[in-house]
Amino acid sequence: MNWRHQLTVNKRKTVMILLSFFVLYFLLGAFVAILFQPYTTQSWWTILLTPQSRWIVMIFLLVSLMIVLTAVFFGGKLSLAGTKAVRVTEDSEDLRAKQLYNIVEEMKIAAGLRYMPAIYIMPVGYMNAFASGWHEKNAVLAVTRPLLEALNREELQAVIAHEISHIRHQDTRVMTLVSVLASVLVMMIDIIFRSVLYSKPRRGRRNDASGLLVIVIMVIRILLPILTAFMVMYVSRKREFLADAGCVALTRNNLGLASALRKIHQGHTMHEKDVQEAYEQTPNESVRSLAYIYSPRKSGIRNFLNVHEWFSTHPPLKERLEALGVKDGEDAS
Amino acid sequence: MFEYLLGISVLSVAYVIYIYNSLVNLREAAINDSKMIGVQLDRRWKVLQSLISAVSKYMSYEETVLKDVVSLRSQAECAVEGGDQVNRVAAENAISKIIPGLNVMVEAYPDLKANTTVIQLMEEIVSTENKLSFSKQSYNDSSERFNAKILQFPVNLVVGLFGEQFKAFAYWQLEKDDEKEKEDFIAKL
Repeated sequence: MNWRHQLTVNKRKTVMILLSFFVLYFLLGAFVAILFQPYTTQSWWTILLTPQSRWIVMIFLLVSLMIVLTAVFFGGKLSLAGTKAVRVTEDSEDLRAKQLYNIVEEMKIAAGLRYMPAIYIMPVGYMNAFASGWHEKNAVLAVTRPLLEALNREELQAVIAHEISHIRHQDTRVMTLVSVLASVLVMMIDIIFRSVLYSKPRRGRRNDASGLLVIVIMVIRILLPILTAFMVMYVSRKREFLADAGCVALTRNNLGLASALRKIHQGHTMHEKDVQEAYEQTPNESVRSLAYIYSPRKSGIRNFLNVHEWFSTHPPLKERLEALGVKDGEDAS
Repeated sequence: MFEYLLGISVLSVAYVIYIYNSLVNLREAAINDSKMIGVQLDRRWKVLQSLISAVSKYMSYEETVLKDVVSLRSQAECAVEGGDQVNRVAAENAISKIIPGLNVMVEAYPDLKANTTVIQLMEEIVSTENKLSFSKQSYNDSSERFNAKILQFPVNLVVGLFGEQFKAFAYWQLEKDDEKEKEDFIAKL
């Protein structure tokens, strides 16, 4: 399986995710329409045909369209939310930042991409890197400050090549869609959940029926994160192996990535408490957790509030090193 | 019978058009990559010029390897004007060989080592040299895709129809004696 194959797979997945998202919003709209209908004696499909219901469903579909458009145009920027990330440009004064820019440009040339991704440095307390964005044009590539400080040029090059491979394979497209859509969906349900919880019972609606509705909404509130977790699972773990392979194909060097991955792993295990705190203090981690080069879970750092982490999204370090042709435990040169 | 023949000929014309277009795409990608090499060569020269002017405050550049760089670059420029691709490649490759030695030169002068402009320029030079080799790599990759495609059956039959337009690209590679030198290389401890 080469990366061109992965590209077609990702295109198919994008369509599937979009379709399932629109269907979900249609169902959500239909559900709200039934919720606001005062007459409970009607069967549900006749309720859906009333003009008021049609409006509600239309509005929900429009909202879903707007969310998708937001993900397409601002998905990359959204994934930086809450990190106070600093943009790196060609004229950056800082030598390390300039080097980062140069490395990204080198890898862009090696991968034959047409546009430079927007590069950011995140001033946070852990070592990680990610890429996101719908298109090459609005792609975002971010590394954290500790990562930039700890890796040498060769290792940094390997990490960047890994991220550029994600952009090249259009993994970023699938990941951005999934993380943006899933978070917005959970937010929407929360809004409906609260509006039903705190609203006074309407006139003309029987009390037992509204009690039933609250239960239904609560069930949805519990089921939906699981559903989004399945969406996340759909983004296969293979993408990391393929990006690792893409990195080796671009840099013609497997030791750089191996030693970079080991350093990142050590950075997580050696100061586990500090790193865990750093992850907890950074807002909106769930938007990025899928895209990270190294999942903090692999060193035992967990956050059960994050639905993405219920399932393994990244392959174990040992398997990745083996796929790179490096035995675990062997010293990196 | 006639309908069948018509159907087959329409299908084969469509196939030829499809193959022709995909070949054009592959060829243009390879040409684009080869232009990138030229862009990087020019860029490298600009960075080297700034290095020369930065270094000249500390020493006369005549004493250093930079003198060779300048003469090699003018050789390359002459070759471009004369349309002599082989000499140009040889001169530019010779510059590539000198560049690893620049580090040694900078290390030898403590003043230079401490100068931030020079440190920045050294990073630029490393980066440009990388960009150059990555664009060669990218060119070789796209050439390989094109060259393999035009040799495949039945694409080669279509290529036969447009013989002149689709010619295999030459790969960037080390010269023969260079390869020999690298194969025979023994690390002296």
